Amino acid sequence: MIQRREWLQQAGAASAMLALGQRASAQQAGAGDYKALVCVFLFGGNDGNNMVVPLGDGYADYAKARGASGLAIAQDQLVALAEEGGTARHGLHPALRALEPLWAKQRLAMLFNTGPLVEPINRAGYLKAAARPDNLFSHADQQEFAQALAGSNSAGTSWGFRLARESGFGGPRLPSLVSFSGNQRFLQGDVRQALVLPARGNFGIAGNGTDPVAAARMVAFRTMWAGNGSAIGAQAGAIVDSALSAASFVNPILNATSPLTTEPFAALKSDISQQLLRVARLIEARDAIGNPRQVFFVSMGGYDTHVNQRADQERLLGELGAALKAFHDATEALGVADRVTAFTMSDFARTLKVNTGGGTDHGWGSHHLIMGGAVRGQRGYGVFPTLAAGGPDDAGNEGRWIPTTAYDQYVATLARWFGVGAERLSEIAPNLARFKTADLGFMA
Amino acid sequence: MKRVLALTAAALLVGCATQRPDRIDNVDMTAPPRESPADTLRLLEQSSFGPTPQMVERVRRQGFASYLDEQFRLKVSVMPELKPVDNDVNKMCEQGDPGKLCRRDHYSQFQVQTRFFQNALNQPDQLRQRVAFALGQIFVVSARKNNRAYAMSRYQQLLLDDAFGNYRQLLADVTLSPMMGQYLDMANNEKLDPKRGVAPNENYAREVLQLFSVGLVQLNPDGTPKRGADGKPLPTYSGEEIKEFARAFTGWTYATAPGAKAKPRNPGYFDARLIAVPAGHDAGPKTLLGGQRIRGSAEPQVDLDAALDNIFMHRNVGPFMARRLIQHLTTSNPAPDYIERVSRVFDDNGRGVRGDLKAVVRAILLDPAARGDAVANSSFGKLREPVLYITGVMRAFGATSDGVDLIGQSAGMEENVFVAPTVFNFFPPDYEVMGTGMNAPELAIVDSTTSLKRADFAWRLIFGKAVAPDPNVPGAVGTSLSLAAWEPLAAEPAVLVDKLDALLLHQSMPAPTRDAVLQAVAKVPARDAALRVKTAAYLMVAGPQYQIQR
Repeated sequence: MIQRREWLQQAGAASAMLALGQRASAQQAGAGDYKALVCVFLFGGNDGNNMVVPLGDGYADYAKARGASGLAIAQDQLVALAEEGGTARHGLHPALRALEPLWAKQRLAMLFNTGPLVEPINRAGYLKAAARPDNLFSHADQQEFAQALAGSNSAGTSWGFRLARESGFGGPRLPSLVSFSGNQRFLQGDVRQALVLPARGNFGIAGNGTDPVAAARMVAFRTMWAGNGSAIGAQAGAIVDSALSAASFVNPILNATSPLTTEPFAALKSDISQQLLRVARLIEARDAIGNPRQVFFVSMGGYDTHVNQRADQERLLGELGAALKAFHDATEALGVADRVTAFTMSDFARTLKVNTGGGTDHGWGSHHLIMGGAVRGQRGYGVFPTLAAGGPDDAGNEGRWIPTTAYDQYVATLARWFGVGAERLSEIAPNLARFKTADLGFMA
Repeated sequence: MKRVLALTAAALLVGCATQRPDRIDNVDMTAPPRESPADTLRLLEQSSFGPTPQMVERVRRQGFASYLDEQFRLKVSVMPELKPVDNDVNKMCEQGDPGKLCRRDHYSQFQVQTRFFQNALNQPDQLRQRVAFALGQIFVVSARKNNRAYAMSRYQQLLLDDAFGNYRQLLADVTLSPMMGQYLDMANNEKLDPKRGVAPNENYAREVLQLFSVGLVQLNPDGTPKRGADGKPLPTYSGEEIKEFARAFTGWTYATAPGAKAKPRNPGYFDARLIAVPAGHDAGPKTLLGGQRIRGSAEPQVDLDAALDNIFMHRNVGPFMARRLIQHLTTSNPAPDYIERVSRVFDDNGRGVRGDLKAVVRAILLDPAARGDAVANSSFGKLREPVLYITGVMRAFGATSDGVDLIGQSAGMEENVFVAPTVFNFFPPDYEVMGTGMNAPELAIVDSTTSLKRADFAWRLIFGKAVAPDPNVPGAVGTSLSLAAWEPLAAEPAVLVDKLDALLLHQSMPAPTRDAVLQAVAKVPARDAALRVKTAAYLMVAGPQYQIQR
C-alpha cells in the first residue's frame, strides 16, 4: 500500500513537470499552432442503429429486425455515403442530410460500434462475466464513463480536464476547457475551474459598477467567497472567482457579431446551434484569448427515445446536422477548418429490437461522427456489428452491441492529433494499453 | 363539467397570493423558550421553504416535536385544479398572439410553477410541501416530455397528498399516475409481439429500480454498499430482472377521456389513473428481485401489486430512501449511523408498520445528527438549491411575490422547477466536491454562469425595482421587497450586521466575513440608510455563509 502511494506521488510530480514543459513549448509555438476539439454529447443514448444503416446486403438484417415495427428507415430514404474510391456501404439518417457535402469533401468520418470498455471483450467473454464497465445500460454511469474515462490513477478527474491540463489548462484570460452546456462530468478536475458559459444572453454579475460604493461591495463579495473554509464553499468560491475573472473579457466575445461566425448560423435557432455559434466566436477570438489549445463541450438532450423514436430522433438529428454543418462552415470562413475537430459521444446506443412503444431501450456500443478539416473523412472506421439480436455482437438477445472499439481508443486518437505525445496518451485514456491500437487512423 | 368549473374557481381563490394562511393553533408566546434560537432557525431551514422571524419564535416556545406534529396535521396545499385539455395545443388555443395566454396557462408550467411558489412562500403546511418537493426530485417527472399544466398539477398534488403517507401507497400512486405513465412509458407498454418483433418497454422497470426504490447496489442498513469477495459492490439486479419487471408492468393504458371511444392504447389523458388492459398484459411467470418467482396473472393489477410488493420489501429501500430524504432535508453527507437510525424507522415505525413516511421525516429531523448547535461543523449541511435559496431569502425578509418572476430566476440557476432535464433530476445525489470525496448534490449545478445568476437574484430582489404585477395574471401582486424597517439600524452598521447575522446565519458569521461586510457598508454615506441596509443584506445572502445551509 505504501509503495503504491509513493508511486502515485512520484507519478503526480512527474506529470506536473511534464505539463509545465508542455505549457512553455505551447506558448512558444504561438497562435499558428492553434487546435480545438469540440465534444458534442448526445444525452440520453442516441440510437446509432438508425443513425448509420448498412446498405445493400446488410440492409436485410436491419429490415428484418426493425421493418415490421415501422421503425426501419426505407433504404431509398437513407443518405448513401460512398467511401473514397468505393461504393456506398452505409447510409446516414435522412435528418443528417446537411452533412452530406462534408462527407464528399472528406471532412466527415464514421466510427462504428464504439463505447465504454475496460478491456477487449466478446460475446462469450461477456456471458462469462469478463471485466466490463460498471452498471452498463444505466444513463448516469455510462455518461460518467464516456466523459471521465476513469482509471485507477485518474483521481476523479475527467478526460476533458486531463486533456486540457496537457497544455497547461490555458492562460490568464480563459481556461482551455469551456462548456456551453452547464457543469458536466467532462469538466471535473482539480481546483482549477473550467468555465461554463451561457449559450444565450450575457455573462457577468449585476451591480459591478465603478463608483466607490459598488467597488467596495464587489471587494467584500469576493473576499467572502475567497475566505470560505468549508469544502462546498471552497469549490463554489473557486467557481465564483473564475467567473468574475473572465466575465468582462469574455462577454464581448460571446456577443460579437462578426459575419464570419454569425452568417452560417443565421437561420438556426436550436440550443445546440447557439452553443456551437458561441464556440465559433471563441475560436474566432483565439489570438486575443491566447490559448494554443482549446477543448469545448456542447450537448443536446432528448435522445432517450423509449417511445415515438421515429419522430423524436428525426427532429433531434435534424437540429444536430444543421448545427454541425453551420459550425463547420464557420470554421472554414475563419480559415481554421483543419484546426478544429468536432466529434460525438453518447451514453450508449439503443437496442436493435424495438419495443411496444415504437421506441428502443438502452444499449451499449454505438456509431459516432467525427467532423473537421483534419479528419480523414469519407470513410468508416472500426468494425460494423452484425445486426442480429442474439448474434455474435449482442450482449443479450435484444441487440445491445458489445463495442469492438473502446472509447479510450477513440479519445486517444483525438488526443494524439491534439498534440499529446504517445507516452502521455494513457494519462488521458487510462484503459488504452489493453487495446491493440492507440490510433484508429481517422485523424490526419 | 360543472364540478370542474366550481373547483377551478375555488382553486383560484386558494392560489391568490394575498390569501391568508390556513389558521394554525395558538401557541403561548409568553412561555419560556425551549430551544436555542440557532437550532430553531436550523430546524426551520430543514423543514420549510425558509424560516420567518415569526415562525422561529413560535417553534422555540412550542418545542420541536410539537411543531412537527402540528405540521403533520395541517391542511394540504392545493395545486391548480385545471381542467383537462386536448393533447393538441392547436385544437385548444388560437394561433399566434390571441392564443398566447391559452398556451401559457395550459401548455406550459406557468400556472403550476406560480402556484408552487405562492404555496411555498405563504401556505402554512411548510413541511408537507418541503417533503413533496424532495419526493418530486426522487420520483422525477418533467414537463420536458409533457408540457400540459393540468397533468403536472395532478402529479404534484399526488406528491403533496402522499407525502406523509406510506411509501408503498406512494409507489403505487406514482406508478399508475398518468404523468409518470407517460414520462417513463408505463402507459401503453404491451407484451411481446413476435409478429411486429417488438418487446416490452424497459424504461419504467429500469428507473423504478435504479432511482425510486432500491438503487444499483445492495446496501447495508447504514447505506454502505455490500461488497463481494473481490471488494466490488454487489449489484442489486441485472438486466434479466429488468426484463422481468418490464413484463410484469405490461397491460396499462391511459384512462378513456370523457366522450372518447375506449381503445386498447388510449391517447394521453392525465386526469385519472392508468387503467388495466388485460389483452396487452404478459401473464407468464416472472422472477423478481431476490429470485422471488411469481406465477403471473392475466390481471395486470395482480402482477403490478406483486411486483411493487417485491420492490417494497427489498432491504435496500430503507437505507436508499433514508439517504435521499436526508440529503434533501438536512445534510449532504449523512454518517452511516444517521442513515441506519432513519432506515430502521422506515423498516418499522415502532408500531410494526414498514414505509411510514411521516415517521421517517420525523426521525430525520429530530435525529441527534441533525440537531443542536454542535452539528454545524464543516461536513454538516448542504448547499441551498436555487428554489430553496430564492424562497429562503424572500421568507426571511418578508418579500411578496405571486411567483411569476421567480420562474425565470430559478430556471436561470438551472432549477426550472418541474422541468428537470432528465429523470436523474437537476443534480445527482452522489455529486462530489472535487478532490474531497464529499457529496454535494446541489453543487452540481453551480458553475461560472449559475454562480453569478445566484448573486444576481439577490441583486434584483434587493436593489432592483419591484416587479410590477402582470396584468394578464389574475390576482397578480408582482414581486417586491421592502427593507425600510431595517433602516433605523443603519446608523450603527455593526448592529445592523449582527441583526442580519441572527436572522440569516444563526449568528455564525466568521470575523473576516463580518469585517468585509462592515467595510462595504461603511463606504456608504450614513445619510443613505436605505443603501446601507441593501448593501449589507445583499452581501449577507449572496455570500457563501448563507448559500450553504448548516
